[in-house]
Amino acid sequence: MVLTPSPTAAGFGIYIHWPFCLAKCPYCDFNSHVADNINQDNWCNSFIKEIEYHSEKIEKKQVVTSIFFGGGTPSLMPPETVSAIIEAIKKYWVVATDVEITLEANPTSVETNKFNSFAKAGINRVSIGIQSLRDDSLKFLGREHSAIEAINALNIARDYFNRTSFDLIYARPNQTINDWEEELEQALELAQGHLSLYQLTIEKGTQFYTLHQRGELKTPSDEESGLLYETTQKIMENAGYSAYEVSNYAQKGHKSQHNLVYWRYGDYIGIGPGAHGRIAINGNKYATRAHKAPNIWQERISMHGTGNHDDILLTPEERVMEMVLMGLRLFEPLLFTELKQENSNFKAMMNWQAIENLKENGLLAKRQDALQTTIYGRQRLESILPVIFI
Amino acid sequence: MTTEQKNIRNFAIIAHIDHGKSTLADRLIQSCDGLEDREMTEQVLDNMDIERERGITIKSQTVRLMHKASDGVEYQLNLMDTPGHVDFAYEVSRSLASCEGSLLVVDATQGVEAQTLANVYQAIDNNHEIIPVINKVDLPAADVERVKEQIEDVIGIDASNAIEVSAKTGIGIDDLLEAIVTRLPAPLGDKTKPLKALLIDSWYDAYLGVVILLRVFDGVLKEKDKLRFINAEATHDADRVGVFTPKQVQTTVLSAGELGYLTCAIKTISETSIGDTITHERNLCDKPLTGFKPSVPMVFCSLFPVDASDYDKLRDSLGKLALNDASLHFEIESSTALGLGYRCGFLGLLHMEIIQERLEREFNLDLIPTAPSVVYHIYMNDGKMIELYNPADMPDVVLIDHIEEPWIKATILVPDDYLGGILKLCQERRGEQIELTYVGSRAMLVYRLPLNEIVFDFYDRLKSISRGYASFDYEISSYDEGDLVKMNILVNAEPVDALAMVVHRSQTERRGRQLCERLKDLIPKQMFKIAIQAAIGGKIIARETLSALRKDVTAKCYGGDISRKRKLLEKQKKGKKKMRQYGNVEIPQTAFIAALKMGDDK
Ligand SMILES: Nc1nc2c(ncn2[C@@H]2O[C@H](COP(=O)(O)OP(=O)(O)OP(=O)(O)O)[C@@H](O)[C@H]2O)c(=O)[nH]1
Ligand code: SF4
Ligand SMILES: [Mg+2]
Repeated sequence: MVLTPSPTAAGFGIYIHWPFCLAKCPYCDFNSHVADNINQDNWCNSFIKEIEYHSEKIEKKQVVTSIFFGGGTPSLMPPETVSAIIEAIKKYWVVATDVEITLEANPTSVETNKFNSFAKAGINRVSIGIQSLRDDSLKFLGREHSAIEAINALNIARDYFNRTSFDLIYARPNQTINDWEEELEQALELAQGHLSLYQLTIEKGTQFYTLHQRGELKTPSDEESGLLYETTQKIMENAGYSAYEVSNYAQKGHKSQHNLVYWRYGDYIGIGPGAHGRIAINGNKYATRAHKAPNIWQERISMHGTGNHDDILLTPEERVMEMVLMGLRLFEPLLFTELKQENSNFKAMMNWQAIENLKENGLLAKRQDALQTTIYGRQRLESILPVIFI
Repeated sequence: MTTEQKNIRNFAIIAHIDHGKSTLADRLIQSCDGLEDREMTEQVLDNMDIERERGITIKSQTVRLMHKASDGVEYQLNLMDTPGHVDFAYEVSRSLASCEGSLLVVDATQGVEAQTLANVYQAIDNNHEIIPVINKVDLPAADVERVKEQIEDVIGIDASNAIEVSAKTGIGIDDLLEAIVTRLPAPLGDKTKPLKALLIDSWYDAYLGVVILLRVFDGVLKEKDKLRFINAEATHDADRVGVFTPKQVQTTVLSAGELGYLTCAIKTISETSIGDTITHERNLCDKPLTGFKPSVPMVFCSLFPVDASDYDKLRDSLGKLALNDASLHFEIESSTALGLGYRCGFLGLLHMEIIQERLEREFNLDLIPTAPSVVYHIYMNDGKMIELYNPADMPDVVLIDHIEEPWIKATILVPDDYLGGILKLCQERRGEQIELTYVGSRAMLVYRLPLNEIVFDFYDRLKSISRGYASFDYEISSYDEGDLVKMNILVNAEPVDALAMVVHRSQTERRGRQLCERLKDLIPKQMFKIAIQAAIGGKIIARETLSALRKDVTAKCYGGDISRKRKLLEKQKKGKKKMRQYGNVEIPQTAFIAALKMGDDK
């Protein structure tokens, strides 16, 4: 395979985590909580303080290329809080003129009614958690909305935001290839340049996990899920959507800039309960992690000035592993010059003979200065990763 | 606590596996107030973790109890609980040589079994007075009369005065104690003669160092005595002298007829020799005791550390286990494919399994055991004979004149209903029938069988065909020539050393097919397809193909997941040390180990 054109710089992103949801979905292992009364002023203050804390710590040479409100359900945030956070970021950092500011939203009417205000606050992209266009599946997935509501939300979003995306979950129990093809075709008619299509995975600590353990929930076999994945790739390609990452598909100009920061192993600040970050200070790279429990995170901020655990200095080896395991998810070359910046001796970490073997067997593509997974390889990435390191 | 010699009774409890020896010992200990109730656990003498987990006795144990009999006299009872499993028959033989009587325990619901016979014959050879004890009479299925008949018909000893007990509920224990006192003889021997004591067993204790279990035949042993170990040609001072009640109690003295322990400043059990005669340095006894034949390992396998850097740890761990297990043999071995390891000899398959388990559990080692094998005698064209322990080392066939393999004489007792299945099994495994007789409604089969057909999965098959009712005992009989070949298992055309085995030509196809099928189920799917083959020389006799894996990727992976994913990857990288490269795939060694362990259900 000939490698695709080289990527642009990774960018610098800021992630804001809103840890609350209306209800906990049975498949979800995110740091999300259901809370009755949320003191919004308090929460707004905590975020602002945490932004200030980071602004003092981190060199401000980097231009912010993306901001992402994730969760939880950040569309439940008061638009004033969103606005205050964006203003605070702008106060402390240089923000690119074409900055991408995404908000994750659920498609209930409560939230869509606020789209207007979110747009005014500065949000220019929404990613909507539709998950399915079938009412029975929505019910199975424990979602609070219907298929009609989902479609409405997309129509409203189109009016206020330049770019939208939505998520679907497939490889659901008993879902046939035909069912999925139809649902996906329908989704493509609604889509506006970007789709995230995730196969249902059973995560520890979720309701589905318990059901699965008890044998009451059957997920497709590897064979079936492989077929579903390949079918998805084909349909998306025909529709002009490039599979630029394992589960993400975009038309030209619609890739999620923020998520690309992660996959290209750029720097990002994580703010909010449980948020992670990767930040460079004086040539070193640190992994940051915030306290997970919302109340502890807030408490820590008021008592210690930050909700973060101690920063962890990443070794050059760890940096290479992280860059590789993220970079090979993408449909773009992972440049050796980039790896070299993480660890000048990165070549000694790699099993070049195994890489050659994977190349001969069509799982990897390689040239003098870069490495890339093929479609075939990306689909088997977890098996490839341990092999390519010594 | 001195007892007149005429008031001492020494006895072993012998039986087929699981007939209740250890439970009976519990009741005797309790009746004699050896332990308080709160100190009692079930099968209290089975104190090794592995014994407790498996519910079986591996090591003989000796306990001194005091019992006031109906004649008003306080008797000293020295009880030896023995293992029932055939692998540990050697333990039984040593116990029997140290006492004058046996309690022959027979399960009232099972009757006489193969090890009942094997053990009672040994007791008779040792001139023991035998008390038949019919156990588990509390069970509804107990059939005391039938069992008594069997004891008389099959073993040929009088069962009219057998004691009926329940080791569980305690029924009949008082009668049994009375019978022990009245029917078993007091030990002979003379305490005025020079010291003559038998070294029955020795083990390593973290606090006491090497502990010696002994039986005093003549004379008196006291602390601070200067002792001579005749076979070991060594002199030691007696440090501590005492008994187990089962708690360790220092008595400072042991006299003729008594059993107890001795510690000297001895560091390893290799300095002691089991069966040795211990006497006084300055007052030697006339002629030493006959001692025991050394235990002979029957089954061999090689153990390699999965992580080559664990080699030293494996050596030290084997050394530590050997401190307490004189039957464990090991020698350095180096294999081109598996690196440095040890070739180990075991008493049998259970012994092998237990050692492997202890190494992995107590010493935290990951091991690659090779397929269990026996020792073949390879006669070369030039007339030399080579003992082959590891099939991977088999010389080139063109250099071989002929090969001999060990055969056993097996005794199998099986209810009539399952006889057909068992006969077929023996036939399949190249058995030659010597005898078929009836013991009540059960058949007693005596077969000659090649040992290599036994080590693989014979015992499991026997149990499954007979639904657990068949019992089995064996002894080595001879070495005989056989049409034996080396079978290799190939994964992606590369031989798996751990699975190389010597097989009789008639068995190659069955074994080859079986192993290939098992491996297909056990090897995780890989990025590439995998060919699994069984081959003899260059000829493929069985083959399976494992298709490539279809999909293996995390659907969602964002900023927060990186640390978690990296840690997982680091773990997988570490795990690769436990993998072996076969062509373009790396396969976890565990798959091969599992293939050997899996029971034969096809
Ligand atoms: N119902 C009943 N069960 C008994 C009796 N005696 C022993 N058992 C049970 O039989 C099983 C085997 O008992 P053990 O005392 O371990 O047998 P063992 O002969 O020492 O076995 P090995 O040492 O492995 O040869 C255990 O589950 C006991 O609880 C009895 O009198 N009645
Ligand atoms: S709404 Fe989203 S974050 Fe909240 S529980 Fe459901 S899937 Fe998880
Ligand atoms: Mg026992």
